[in-house]
Amino acid sequence: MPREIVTIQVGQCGNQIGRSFWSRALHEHAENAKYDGDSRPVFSEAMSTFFRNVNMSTKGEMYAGSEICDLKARACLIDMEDGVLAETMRGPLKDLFSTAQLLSDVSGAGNNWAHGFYEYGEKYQDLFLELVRSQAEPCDSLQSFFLMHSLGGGTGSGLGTRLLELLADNYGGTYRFATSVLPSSSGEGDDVITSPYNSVLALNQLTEHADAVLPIDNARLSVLSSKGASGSGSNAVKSAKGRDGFDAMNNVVARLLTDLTASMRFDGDLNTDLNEITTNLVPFPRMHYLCPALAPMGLGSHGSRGGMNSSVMVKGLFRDCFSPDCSLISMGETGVNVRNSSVLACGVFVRGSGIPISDVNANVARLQAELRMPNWNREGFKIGLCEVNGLEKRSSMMTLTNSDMINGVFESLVERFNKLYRRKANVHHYTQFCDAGIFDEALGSLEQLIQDYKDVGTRGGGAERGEDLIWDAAESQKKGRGVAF
Amino acid sequence: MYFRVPSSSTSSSTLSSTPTGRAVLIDTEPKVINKCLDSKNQKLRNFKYDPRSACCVGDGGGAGNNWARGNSLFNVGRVREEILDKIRREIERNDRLSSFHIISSLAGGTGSGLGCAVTSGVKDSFSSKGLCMNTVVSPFSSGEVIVQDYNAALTLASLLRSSDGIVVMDNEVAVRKCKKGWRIERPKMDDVNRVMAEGLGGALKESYASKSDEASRVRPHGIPTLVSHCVPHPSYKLLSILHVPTMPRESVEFTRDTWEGGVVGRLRQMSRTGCEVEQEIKWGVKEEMQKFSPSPHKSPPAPPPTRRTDDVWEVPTSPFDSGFGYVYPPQNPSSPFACHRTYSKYRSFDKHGTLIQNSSLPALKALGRVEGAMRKHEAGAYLWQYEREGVGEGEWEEVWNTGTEALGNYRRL
Repeated sequence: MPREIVTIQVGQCGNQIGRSFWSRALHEHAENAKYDGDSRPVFSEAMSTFFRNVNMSTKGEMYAGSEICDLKARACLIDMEDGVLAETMRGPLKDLFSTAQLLSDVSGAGNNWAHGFYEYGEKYQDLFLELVRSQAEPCDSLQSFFLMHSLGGGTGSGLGTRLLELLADNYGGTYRFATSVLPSSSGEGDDVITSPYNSVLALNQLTEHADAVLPIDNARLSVLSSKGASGSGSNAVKSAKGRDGFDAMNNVVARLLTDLTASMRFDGDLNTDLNEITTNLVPFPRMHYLCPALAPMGLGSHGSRGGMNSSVMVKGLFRDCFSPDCSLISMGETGVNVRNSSVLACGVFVRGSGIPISDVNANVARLQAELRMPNWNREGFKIGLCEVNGLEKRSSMMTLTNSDMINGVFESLVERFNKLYRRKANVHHYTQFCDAGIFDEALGSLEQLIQDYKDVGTRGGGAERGEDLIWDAAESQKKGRGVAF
Repeated sequence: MYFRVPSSSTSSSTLSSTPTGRAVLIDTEPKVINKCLDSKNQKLRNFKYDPRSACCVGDGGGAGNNWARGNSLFNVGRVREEILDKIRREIERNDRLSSFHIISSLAGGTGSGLGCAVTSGVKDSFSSKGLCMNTVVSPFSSGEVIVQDYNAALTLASLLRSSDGIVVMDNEVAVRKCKKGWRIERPKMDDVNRVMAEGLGGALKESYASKSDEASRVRPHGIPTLVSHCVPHPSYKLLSILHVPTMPRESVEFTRDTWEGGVVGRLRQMSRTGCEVEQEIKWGVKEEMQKFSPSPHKSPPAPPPTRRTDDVWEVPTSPFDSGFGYVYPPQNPSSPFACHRTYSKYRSFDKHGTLIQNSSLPALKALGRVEGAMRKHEAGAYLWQYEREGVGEGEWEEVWNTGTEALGNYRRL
């Protein structure tokens, strides 16, 4: 029984990421294709997570084990301008999507969250639900929705979060993951004046209606992609420097998403389903922001060298993934440092053949002693092991960390939001579509979230002083702190 | 006992003449079951599974490491009927069913949650057919599953009520056995599973209470004797397994042990000092306050070679008498220690001994997870996910009650 994921890509950014993602997913499955007796590729269960296999003549669904006929992405492509979608449908991936999977308008949302959320949200609600139904119905066991969007603009941010709400209302039992690209926290290079408004308003919705959000910092993406982090060899570096740096940036996100789902699609010693990610990494329902990091980043990194002792390599992957260099969230000029944060929970997902669990455990044990974590979560780590390499054909690692390191991003957004909002700049564009109260509500929600993350160390345990409850493994064992019977 | 062997006349190919495990395979996702049933893998083993006894239940969504989700799956749609039907089919193919053995994780989602539901289901539907023993595998404390303490507490509370005996095995202990015993520097999951199977296999191997029983092959030791002896009182159900020797496969043939000082002596020192891995025995330590619950252990030890002079039936078990530093609680029956033996070799070991103990140290270690869960509960962490699946404050209250009661029982020994 396959577990399917329906991808919903909204807005320009969402659709560009989507393009990289589908190309990557397709290549990954081509690398690992299985063949029948006549050496024709077979539609495998692993593929059915993201793809449908449609019989062209009967238009019927072909299930795992059949020969590959016509692959269709389980996706909804949505944009309120038609440029990017048209480009997709002219490009090399055009056969993956049928026109029935597209939903577009021509006028755009004008970088206005309220325009996307209210105006387009109303207008396209029924069409959207119809489109989702057409994708959800052929699924045996729909596991989750993947929303890809950015928060700074109007369509992805506004319409994207509206769609999330619709999914919550109509498919409550299905997990909703959002990959949300945040505008640069410094505001540098951000050409959308209203992006702080859009982001804060969208975050309010994400906090309410998503099961997990993978926040990604736009500024960080461009730094990493210029280092060749997308990893597809020297081409990535060239393209980052050359005409289209976006490709390399989108490829980083695509890698994140394929790695995230690798363990549910392919075999491994410790399979991890998406629903396990929320179970383990989200202790409190609103605090579901999982900061991603990827290693190896760049090309010359040790993960890429063959023939290396695997325990040395795994150690290197851990060192990288928990260093600021590999984080997709930035703190000023660099990536944010996990070691300076209070970690609620952390997921470690390793890809690569022949990596023993004991190597991973040894590194996790070390981290448990080093990271600041609350005393009630001394286990704190969720591990996934997938034996199939990613496209780079080398061992790699991804971490998702639920910690207060996201506060840096949130706080700078609040600051930039307030700069505009104090003068009520541009607010009238929004009040055309909605009540002004939504601004205060969204700001309040984000400030509460920031406070919740700050309180991480002080929750529970019955003690009054925060530092008492932040533990390190050795100390807490010494104290033998526990509940008395 | 554990296999169906096809009659030789009907089978021709090698695969169909291999024995079939009397097993029902249950999971919420197909990958592992498919791997078990894959004929390529079946050829590598000397047994096979019956594909008709495998079932993948639920909507395919899995339990997501959530005990409550795994547990409630049992009552979704026809899942209960489907699973119990498969079990009934296996029951009907047994001439003399003695017991059920349910193997699952202690703290995952599917194994622990659904496993508990299946255990109760088996108890409700088939309790007249035989005892029900559970083997639960404790996860790595570093990682694997963050909500493991919650899941473990729920599993223990549920099984303490429904199961007849609970064998607790530990991934971390198994890794140490792989490293120190089998000398595998960096063990993989497969090694971990094999070392655990070796322990469990030793505990369940056919053996006998007396030489004459073995000669006439009557009253073999199995799960019923194990459970009825080791769990003399329903308040004490937690068992653990020690086995000796643990050594690399290639050394087995070249090793000659003695019974008294070797196998039995090491088992004794391990159980007295609360040591779980042979290579970690501390010989200097005289006594580490190891207390035993009623009827601590029994060893179906010692499947040895028949031709050797040191006859397994001659090995004295006096080291396990209370005079030798063992503390048996007063409420235990007259003979807390029972020994089962057999001449037939276990694997290719010259001598092999297994000790199954109902003892306070390992039991308290397992029950310690209840305390971990209470810490999380106090912080309110993760509760919303359990609440959503129907485990609310009332259920937690019951878990704490059952857990603390068991902890109290073992502590009082």
